[in-house]
Amino acid sequence: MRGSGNGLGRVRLQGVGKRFGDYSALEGIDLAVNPGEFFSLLGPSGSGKTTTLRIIAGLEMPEDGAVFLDDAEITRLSPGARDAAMVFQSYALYPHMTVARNIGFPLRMVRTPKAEIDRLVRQAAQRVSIEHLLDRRPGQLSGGQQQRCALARAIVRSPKLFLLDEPLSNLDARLRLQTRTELKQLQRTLGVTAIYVTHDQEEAMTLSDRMAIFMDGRIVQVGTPEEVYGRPASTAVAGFLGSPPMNLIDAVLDGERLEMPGAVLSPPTPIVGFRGPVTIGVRPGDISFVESGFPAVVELAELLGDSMIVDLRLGEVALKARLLQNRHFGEGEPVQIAFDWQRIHFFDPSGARLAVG
Amino acid sequence: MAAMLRRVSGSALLIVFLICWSFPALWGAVTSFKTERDVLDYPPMSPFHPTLYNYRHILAGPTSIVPNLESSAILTVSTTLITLALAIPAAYALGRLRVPAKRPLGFYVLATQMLPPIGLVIPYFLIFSGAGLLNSYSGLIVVYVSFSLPFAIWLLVSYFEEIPREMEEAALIDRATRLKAMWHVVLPQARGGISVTVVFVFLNAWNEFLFAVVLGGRTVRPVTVAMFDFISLEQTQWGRVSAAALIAMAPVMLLGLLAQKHIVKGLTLGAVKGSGRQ
Repeated sequence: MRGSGNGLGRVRLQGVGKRFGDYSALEGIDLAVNPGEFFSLLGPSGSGKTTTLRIIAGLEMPEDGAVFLDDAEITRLSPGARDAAMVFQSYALYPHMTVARNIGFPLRMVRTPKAEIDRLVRQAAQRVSIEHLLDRRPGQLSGGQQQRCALARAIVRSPKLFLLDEPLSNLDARLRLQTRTELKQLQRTLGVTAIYVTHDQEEAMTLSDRMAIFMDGRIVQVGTPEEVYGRPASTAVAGFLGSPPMNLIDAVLDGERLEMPGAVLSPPTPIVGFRGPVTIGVRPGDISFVESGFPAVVELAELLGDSMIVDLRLGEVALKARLLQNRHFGEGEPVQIAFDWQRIHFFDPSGARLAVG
Repeated sequence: MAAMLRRVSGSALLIVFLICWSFPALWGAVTSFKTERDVLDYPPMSPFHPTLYNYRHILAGPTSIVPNLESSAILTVSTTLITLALAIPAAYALGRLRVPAKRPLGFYVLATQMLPPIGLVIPYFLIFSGAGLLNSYSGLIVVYVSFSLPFAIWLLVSYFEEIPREMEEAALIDRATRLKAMWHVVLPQARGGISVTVVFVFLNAWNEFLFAVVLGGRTVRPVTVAMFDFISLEQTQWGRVSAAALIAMAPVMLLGLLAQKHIVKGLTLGAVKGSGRQ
């Protein structure tokens, strides 16, 4: 059951824009997804990621721009003619049909011979381990089984493109982890291009080959999870990724000195390449507690089990630090902290990343 | 204790309503098995010999109502089919598609229900006499459809709106055309709503009297009109009227019983996420 046809599945969006009335939902979306890639659209709710997926699916028509699948333009093509299957957040199973008829629906719609339908339905059900449930109706299945049924319905037709709209968000935490792994394996075996919408950064980081970060109807960064996490393109991306997200501090950079409200830090080696007002970004994990460093005060310490989050005050700046061991902190306790200067991010006042070393 | 009291008083109330509702029907049923002499007997509860005389007379006699039952069936079935054929696509469009001026349209549909029908009898008579539609099936069917259509649309829209949009989008993605998506996915789930609509449209058309008596003339006489043949200046044949009424009630009651399952399911469908008809 490999991808159908020539087995490609390259998706390209060119200057796609979408308005709902006066509200501009998407603007100037350019995107290229490679064949066989697991590509996530990540962003807060209302950022346009689901609209983008629906445009690729053909459920929404963009006002501007064009959508291509392989070399064919599909912007105005009906959803059924696109060779793209979709798994909905609500699964959208047909409640009056058995699981077998649900899975076979995309085949029946194009008049596949019955024997062929039976064979393909069984095969798809086996792939997601629900072959024993074929005679049930969706109402008689658990949430996890319904989700598998929706997956089987999507893979049964061997589509070129696999569209997933937050398919794991209705599962409980444990099942979500398990299904996440299975989903990735399924996509790898089928070799099909997958576009995955999620607001869960952990899901996007673990599943994706590459991802696009959406904010306010625009794509703000595209890259591998490592790139996006390691080199966020803007303060918006930096503040969105990571749990807790990166500390962003307004400061003034002057080579040897970094002035921030209520504190002046001097990096071990002078920072060159920029002078003036900046925003510096420090991941909570890049702050350490040392014998002699910058003096700070503990405001709150939260235990997470294998690690802890410590709220600190450095001068007038509030910071969050992640500590990989458990240690007791009293409220108001003075501590000495250090930054990992190699891993500090600099952004200009507009929020764009600065190449500063 | 309080809960039990509530239950008892609830049941008592139901029983009172049931008696009030069923008394005329039962009285009619008993009367239909009486001879005219027994009907007028006093006291009314005295024992009598049940007879099928009235039924024989109205089914096989010279004033048989069988042709009138046929008329009623033609009018009602045609009205129901035409109404559904028009109401389903209309309701779907109002409930689903981005129709411009959807709200005013919906209100307009409902507003047509606010006119008292009797005010329309004379205009209809004048229009129909001009158009040559008096004393014809097609004329009455037009009237019945025009009355039942707004109501049917209004009823069905709420059912269509309740079906998750995503389910239809899934069908479109699964390579169904809009029509196929409607046929295979939307309509099966609106089955409850469609059953309810059928019952109401059928009931209204079957029981209609006013327009039938004015516009149907001597040629199109449904059973509701024919029943009045047994009431004349000289005499009211209570036994025959009752027997005719009982026979006229039968199809509607039967339909109600058949559709009951669907009506209840139609009302509870969608109450539980992901639940389907078993």
